Amino acid sequence: MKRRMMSKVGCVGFVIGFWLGTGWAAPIIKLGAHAPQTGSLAKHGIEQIKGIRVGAEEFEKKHKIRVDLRVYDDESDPQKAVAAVEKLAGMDKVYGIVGGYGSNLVGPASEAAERYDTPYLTTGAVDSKLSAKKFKNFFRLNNMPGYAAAQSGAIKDLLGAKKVGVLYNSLSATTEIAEMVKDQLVNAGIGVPVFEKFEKGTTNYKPILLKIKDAGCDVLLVEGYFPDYVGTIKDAKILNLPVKAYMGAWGIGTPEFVRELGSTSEYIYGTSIWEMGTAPKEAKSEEAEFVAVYKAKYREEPSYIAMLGYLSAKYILEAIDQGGGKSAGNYSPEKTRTALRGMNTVGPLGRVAFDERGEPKYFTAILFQTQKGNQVVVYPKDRAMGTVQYPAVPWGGK
Amino acid sequence: MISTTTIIQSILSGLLEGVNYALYCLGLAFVFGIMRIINMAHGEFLVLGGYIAYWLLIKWGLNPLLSLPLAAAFAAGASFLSYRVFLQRIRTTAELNTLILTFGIGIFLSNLYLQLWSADLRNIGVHWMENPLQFGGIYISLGEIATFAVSFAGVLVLHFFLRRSKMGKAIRITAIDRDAAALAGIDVERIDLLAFSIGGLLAGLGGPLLGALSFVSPGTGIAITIKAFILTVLAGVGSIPGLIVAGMILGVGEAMTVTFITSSYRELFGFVLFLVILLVRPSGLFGKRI
Repeated sequence: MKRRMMSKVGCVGFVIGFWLGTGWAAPIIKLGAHAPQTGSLAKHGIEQIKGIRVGAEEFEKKHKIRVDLRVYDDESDPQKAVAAVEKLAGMDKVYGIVGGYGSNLVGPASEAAERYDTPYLTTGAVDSKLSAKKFKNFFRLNNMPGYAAAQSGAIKDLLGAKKVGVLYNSLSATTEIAEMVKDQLVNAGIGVPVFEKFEKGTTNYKPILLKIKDAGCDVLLVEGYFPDYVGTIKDAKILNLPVKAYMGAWGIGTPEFVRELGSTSEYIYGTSIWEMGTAPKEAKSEEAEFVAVYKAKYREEPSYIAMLGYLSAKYILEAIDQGGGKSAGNYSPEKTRTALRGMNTVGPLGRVAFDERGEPKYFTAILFQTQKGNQVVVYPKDRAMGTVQYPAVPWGGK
Repeated sequence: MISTTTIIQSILSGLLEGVNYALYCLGLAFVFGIMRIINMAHGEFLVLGGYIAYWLLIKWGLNPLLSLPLAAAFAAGASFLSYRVFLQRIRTTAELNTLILTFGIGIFLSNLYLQLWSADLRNIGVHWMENPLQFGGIYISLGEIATFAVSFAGVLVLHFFLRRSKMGKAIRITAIDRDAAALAGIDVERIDLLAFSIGGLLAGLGGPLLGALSFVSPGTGIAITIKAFILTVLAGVGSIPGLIVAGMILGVGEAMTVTFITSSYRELFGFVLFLVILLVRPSGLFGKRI
């Protein structure tokens, strides 16, 4: 009898304890992320997710809200990216999605997010067609005009070049930036005698580089990715290409790039969104804090892709919080979208605010030059951290 | 106006590129010709050779040319294990099974490389190999000359091995008639294992040179496999020396397309050539000559 009484009391105590435990547990926000962790874009996707994890952990500490971060590898494949978003939004019921690298992956993935009415903040896709669809859930931190203006502005104002040869990867984002920069250069009175597309996976660039040589270009502008830069620089070195400057778009001049190419990476120009020390003074402390946490966690310097990942997680989590995400049942995607559209803040990238299509209103890229293995920001002048070395290329040049 | 120097330089670059293609596809062509296995993990074995050379360069500063034997040995070892553990079990069943299985081995290996060496692109940068030599306005790098020599040597050694050595003859007889070879006392299982391992060895030879001229990464393998397969069909199954000629035709054709038309049609040239050869001469440019 006494034993039965004791077991009943024990059961009741367990139920009360469980109820109190769940009732008093820290609130949870479910956040989804997809990015290439394998495949051709894995390098960038891995950095992106590292930044996102730091952003989620920082949010947990500051807001005392637990973040249930679900991460899926989209294997650098558009179909897998769609499947990842469908799983995140449809099965895991996350309140927002971050990540995505490459416009050809983010395009279909953002369509899936729209179908599931889930806010989607990306940092790895700049193709203008993505925002032209006017999806209500689509937001991004960086876009094409910001990069193109940095390149054409530097060629015109900083280098004073007369002729530019443009080679570009046939993928959509690189094609778009090439066309945008070409228009800006021509409008500024700068000649573009060579404007050539090459396919992904090209290994022999010499025939197109010879066209640059024959046209007497001052600047070689390559709108591509890491493998394209390695190939063009190596072949330009073999041909001793007579140009005064070599400029690239994304993924050039990074610490990994410098490590792999050594002195062959010297004097090249690349665009970036952020480098250590380029944050506006209002965001210097945030920048320093992120760098310290990232270095402690991963024992490496954060790239700008990691910084973008971090900021995307931070901004969307704050918006989800305002959208009622911390208390189950009260969450509203509409309120989250409104919070994102109403955002107007200054962070390590500068001022961040979104327009009706989810485009960043104030985004501007920076242009750096590799000097003694370091990325020295040389343009725009108000964010410059050093002086440009011109004419100079990793080989003899002009 | 395109200058004569540009045309000559472009042709030269195409020839050198073609010889590179031949080296990269040697292992696949050998295994396909001898065993009728389309080794979809071929590119991954080649990439393994590249990573071994990269590792030796970083750890001990070893030149990629000196690391060739070790890179080839590692790739041959990986190939040996793949055959012994997996392929041997399904060798006698449908040919499609080996295709799917080697594809799976390729995926496994590329993910293994991702874990071991991360997703970063690795360049086996040796300055003297990148430095150009100039001959009357025409430039060629020492690395390209070295790759050219290794490719030719690889093709010649393999050709003479198959034609002159006792083991090579046993491999050819097994490829022509497996049952007759077994009746003649040849251990056909051992020959299969040896042939597949040689395929890995040949792939491993290309890795360090690929890394020196370009880069290696976990995702590089599949592109190499596809290119190698196209070139194998183009050259003609079983024609080892034909690989060099077919590679040169492809390389020069691509270079001329870029020079005289536009780089947009470079890949198109390769595929049109591939289709034309399949239509006009289905056995490939140099037929079947094992």
